[in-house]
Amino acid sequence: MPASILVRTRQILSNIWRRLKLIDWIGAVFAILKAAKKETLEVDEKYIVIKPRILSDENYLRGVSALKVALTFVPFPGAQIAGPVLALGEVGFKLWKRISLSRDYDQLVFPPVDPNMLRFFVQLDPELAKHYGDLTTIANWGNAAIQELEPIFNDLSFLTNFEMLRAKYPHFDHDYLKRRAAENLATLQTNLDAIEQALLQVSQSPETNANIRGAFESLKGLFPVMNDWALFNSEGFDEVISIIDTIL
Amino acid sequence: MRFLRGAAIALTLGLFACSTIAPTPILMGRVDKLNTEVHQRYLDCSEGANYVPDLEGCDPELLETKTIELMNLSVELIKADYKQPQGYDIHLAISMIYFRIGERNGNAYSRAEVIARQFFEIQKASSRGLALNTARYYLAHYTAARGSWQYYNAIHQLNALRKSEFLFAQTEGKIAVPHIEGPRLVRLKQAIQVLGALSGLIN
Repeated sequence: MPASILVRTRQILSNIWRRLKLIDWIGAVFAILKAAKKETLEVDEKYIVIKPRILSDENYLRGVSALKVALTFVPFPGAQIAGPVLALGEVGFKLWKRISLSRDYDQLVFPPVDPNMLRFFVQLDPELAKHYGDLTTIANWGNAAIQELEPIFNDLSFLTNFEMLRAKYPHFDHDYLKRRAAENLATLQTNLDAIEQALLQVSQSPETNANIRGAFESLKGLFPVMNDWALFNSEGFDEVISIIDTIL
Repeated sequence: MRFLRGAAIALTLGLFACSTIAPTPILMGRVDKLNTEVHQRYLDCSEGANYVPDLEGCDPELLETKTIELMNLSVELIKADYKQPQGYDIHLAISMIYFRIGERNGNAYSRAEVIARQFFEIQKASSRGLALNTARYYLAHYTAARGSWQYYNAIHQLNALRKSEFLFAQTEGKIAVPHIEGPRLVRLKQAIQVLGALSGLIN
């Protein structure tokens, strides 16, 4: 081996040793441990059935933090470049995640009914059991029974108009249908009351209050019809919308 | 040279982030795209609130395949960041479609319930807990759904411990009632009613 290479190697090693001696090793170890410390989550482990992957972003970010701290203690060229790049990666990644995760995902307006709950419900409800209980027996239960019961159950869950329910189910007890329509109306209109309160909070005068209240009462009067038509007749829904347009 | 070294590190990190870190932009994009597709396919198979597989343009088999694919993919999203609500929300909402159209067995119900419980426990432990009421809604729904399944298929499992779980889910469901709206509120109230009836069946 040429002597020049040996000299050069010795110089490099000597430089490295001199730089390593400059490092505050105790400080570095504590800083790295602090950066890599796992965040505590106060959830009983028995409830965690889906565990995070080793390469989950949280673990990655912990690794990035530890590496960033480690690099600040390393007095070599390249470390000074890698530090800001890592910082950008972490911040950029967090920012991206925040934007990405706050997106609105598609949700169904009407969550599907669970067939087992449907079966249980039909047996639980005396009026439904009287008319359709036979469909829920072991012998008859299956996809055909589900297909037959689902529209009936959904009508009784979402229709808010007694007349419409009576027209569709003349064989049901009228008081029962009235009660179902009233309950559905109360449930589905819950958010309308909240909207009304929010509107009134921002209004300025008693006169405006009265106007908002009056307009809202008219709209609320139409909403049972809107709910029913929105569910089962899109042309009817358009008709109601056009009526609202003329009122406003 | 220094610039090249920095660029190389940045490129390596970028490639590493896009391919291995979860949730990767690729995973998020796939979940989003598949979620949109499954919802559209379900809407193609439904009239109002009713699932009608005979409708023109409806492909029930493809819908089921895509639903299962999305359920698996959303689990990956939960694994990637199990504190964020999005993975749970998508998984549990899609499971509702699955239980309507697909196979309904005890294991699937049990899994849905424990995932809903995990979602609830994490939201409860979180100082922000922005999705706590959504988690309560799913907990009540899946506890009631599995309870109904047990009633018909494994009644011996309806014991005192199960009763306490029904009552717990019912209580949490009732807390969520003022915060859930529209058709979801209708389903929540039905779940609460079923939970009350199920717990009443157990001595």
